[in-house]
Amino acid sequence: MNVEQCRLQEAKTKKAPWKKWGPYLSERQWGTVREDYSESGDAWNYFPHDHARSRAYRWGEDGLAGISDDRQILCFALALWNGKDPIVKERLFGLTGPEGNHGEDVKEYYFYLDSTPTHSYMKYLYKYPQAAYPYDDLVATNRDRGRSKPEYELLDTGVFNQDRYFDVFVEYAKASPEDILIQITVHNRGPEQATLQLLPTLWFRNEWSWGEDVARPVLSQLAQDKTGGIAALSHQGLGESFFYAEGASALLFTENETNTQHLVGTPNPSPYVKDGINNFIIHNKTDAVNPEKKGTKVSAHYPLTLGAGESRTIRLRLSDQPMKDAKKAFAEQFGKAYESVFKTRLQEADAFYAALMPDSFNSDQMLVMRQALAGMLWSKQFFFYDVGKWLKQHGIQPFKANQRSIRNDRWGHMVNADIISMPDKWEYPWYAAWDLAFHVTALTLVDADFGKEQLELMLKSRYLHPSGQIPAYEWNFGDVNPPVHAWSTIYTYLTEKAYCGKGDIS
Amino acid sequence: MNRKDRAGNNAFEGGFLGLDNIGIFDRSSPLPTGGYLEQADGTAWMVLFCQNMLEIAVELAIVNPAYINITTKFLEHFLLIASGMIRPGEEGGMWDEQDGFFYDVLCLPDRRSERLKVRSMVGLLPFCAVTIFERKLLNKYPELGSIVSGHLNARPELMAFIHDPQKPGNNERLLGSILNETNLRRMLTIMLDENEFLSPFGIRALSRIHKDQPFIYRVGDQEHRVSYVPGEGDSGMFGGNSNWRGPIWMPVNMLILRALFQYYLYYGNSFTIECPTGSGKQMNLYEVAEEIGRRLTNIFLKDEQGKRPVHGTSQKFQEDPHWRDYPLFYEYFHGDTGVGVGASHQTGWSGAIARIMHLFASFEAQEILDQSKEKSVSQTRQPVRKR
Repeated sequence: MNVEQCRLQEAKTKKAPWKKWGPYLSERQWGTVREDYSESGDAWNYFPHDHARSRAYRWGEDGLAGISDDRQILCFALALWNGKDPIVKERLFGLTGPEGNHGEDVKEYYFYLDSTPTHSYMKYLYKYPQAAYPYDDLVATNRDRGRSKPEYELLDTGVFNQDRYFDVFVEYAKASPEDILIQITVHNRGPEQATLQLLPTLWFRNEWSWGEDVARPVLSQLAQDKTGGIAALSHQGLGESFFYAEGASALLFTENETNTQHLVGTPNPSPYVKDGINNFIIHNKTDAVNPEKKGTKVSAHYPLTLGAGESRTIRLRLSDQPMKDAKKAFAEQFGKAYESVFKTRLQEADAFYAALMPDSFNSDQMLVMRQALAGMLWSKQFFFYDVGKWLKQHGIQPFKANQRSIRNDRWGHMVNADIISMPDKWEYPWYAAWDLAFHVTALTLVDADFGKEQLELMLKSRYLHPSGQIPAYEWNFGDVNPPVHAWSTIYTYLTEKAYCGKGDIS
Repeated sequence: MNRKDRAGNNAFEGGFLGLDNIGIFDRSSPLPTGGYLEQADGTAWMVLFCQNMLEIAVELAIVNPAYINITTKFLEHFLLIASGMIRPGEEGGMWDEQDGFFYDVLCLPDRRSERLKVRSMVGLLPFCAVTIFERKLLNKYPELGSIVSGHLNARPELMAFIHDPQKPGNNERLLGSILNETNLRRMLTIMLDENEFLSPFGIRALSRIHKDQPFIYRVGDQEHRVSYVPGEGDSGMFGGNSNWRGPIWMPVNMLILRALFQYYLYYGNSFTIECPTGSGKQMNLYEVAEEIGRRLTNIFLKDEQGKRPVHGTSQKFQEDPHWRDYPLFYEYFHGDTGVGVGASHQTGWSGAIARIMHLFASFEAQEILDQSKEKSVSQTRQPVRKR
């Protein structure tokens, strides 16, 4: 067994929670059924992209190149600003179903470049234009094109002309299951010097604003000087941990709470709201971030100026390891060991995939297969949807007759709160049972346990309808999809039997 | 099981069944003609489902005889649905003897019915409803054999059509299939025709013949039409996001590959067919599967000019070193050019290309033919390296 295979084994036998952290953050939580509290069931328009930076989500979080723990208590993702956009880029932009001339469509360039099955090493690329992102042009031009015309894409707008963009590579490496090293490398691909404000961001999913007795977690600054910033994290369920941002000019704190003043004109209970950091960066509103340096959302601030063709790497660490001495912390956390963890994890990823690749493959076949699998692994998401609770919040009581009919009202038994393989974390950030059956055939190539868990999950009583129906997807769990679950199950079984010599009948 | 079978005749409805706009009508809404559709795909899915459940039951029954009842249940149900699909001798079955293809059947309120002759994946799915069984099961439970013969003896007209599941093939294997050898060849000839389903990049969801011959159906003064649309959809059905009227979809291609393996395991090397149709090249069914797998993989790989078809005409994606080696795994692919269409990061089921690539590189055809069923669906313990 190679090292990554050993990690899979340790995760399976619960010796070490190597899969506790992963790319479980969605790329789009707005416009989903879960966040839809409208009367009409118009999920796209009830929670549009334009609200996402200001309005707290109830059922999940989203972000760029992000990760979270497997309950999505804590999230980390990339945010950035090119000095010209009207908002900080915190999440991928795209057209809603009604807006696109061919339905919903993400209008960004991002690539899942690598991942091991335990996410001990991961790599993602985001291409960020230096010119103002053409939000309005994309909406208007696509609206004017009919169904017979092709989609108007971001490249068509000209913002990438002369290569005036940044390549932003985000890499993760786990020193141990909950000690995560994060490296962000920015390249200026353009012909001139350009500036970029890089804002790696850490935040808690808001579990405390919805009328339940949940303690508010806290992030607070421990240290900040020219060597960087350190924040301490405390959450009842997650325990204590530390966030180190080497060389950050400041740590900016706010709360992951709705800016009701901005959205509906009612005063905010606290001056620090979800878009506080955005308003500080874009509008220079110095009172939008908490001078006491605490909150439930923090960005490490890195103003960068990069010459043509120049690149810069910044280093971060999110760690559950106790800190001995804040003064020596940076030397300890970012010493030679930091580099060697990255180097080792990448080598182990290479060894894992080398063992998987058939000898006959040429380098291009290996590239395609590895990126296909990277995408499969990056498309895992924490999917949270307690349908019974959601229905009650919509005024539907269980076992009561003659109520109005709303979406999923026959599925009140469902409690979704698991890591599930998504078809596409922006376009379809909800599982689809028949898609999932096909995902499993590829996932089992790298992680048989995860693949089998996915098949079993759909049959659990928290998922399966009492009638025996497998849930289709959140738009209508009761839709009829092709019955491919049995095929995927026997396929997975026979594959394992052929591979291990023994099938898993249980 | 038969939740979507209003006539109780084992011919299924089911609605859009994941294939969005493939039909002439929105299959999830009431029909403009009244009446209902008996869907070839819905019924084929149920056949496949029964076969898969049967396979699972067989694996369990070999270990534990308590599962023998459930084995017979799914065996009988498979035979019943297969019978419902064909309705031999009657007008109005899904099989069209003249065309050698399956179609949806429109059942009108006045009890008339007619086949809607759209050449699509809907009609190819019955080809996918196939499963082989190793002899060892019948050796252990001979009573299963008598169930099959009992069912078939009572329906001689069915036997004239479907494959005889009692007839041993390669390595004594048995085959459950709606298609007998003659009809299998007829369907393969259509599927492997480059003017119909076989694209340079896999099997299309709709035949290219509808490019010049759209299927038109008139209801009153309203005209309904299905044409070959290989890229983005031009209809608003199901949000207009997903188009099944010509593009290549990875999941159904995967099921086609699976089916070809099943037929190959049964018919062996001696069964060959012209592929592509009209090319003069004869291939066995493993080679056909390999050819389709190669075409699917070519969507993403660099061609002789160093271009990846998935990236289409985008100069940036094709030529720029900072873009060209990042293939995206789209939701589906253009039926003629292989360009990625729809959701751009549906690494989900399009990521299953990893399994397809791995499969063909990991074993030799002869080896799987000689060995057990497991080898046909997966890699060997020590993958046999191809020369």
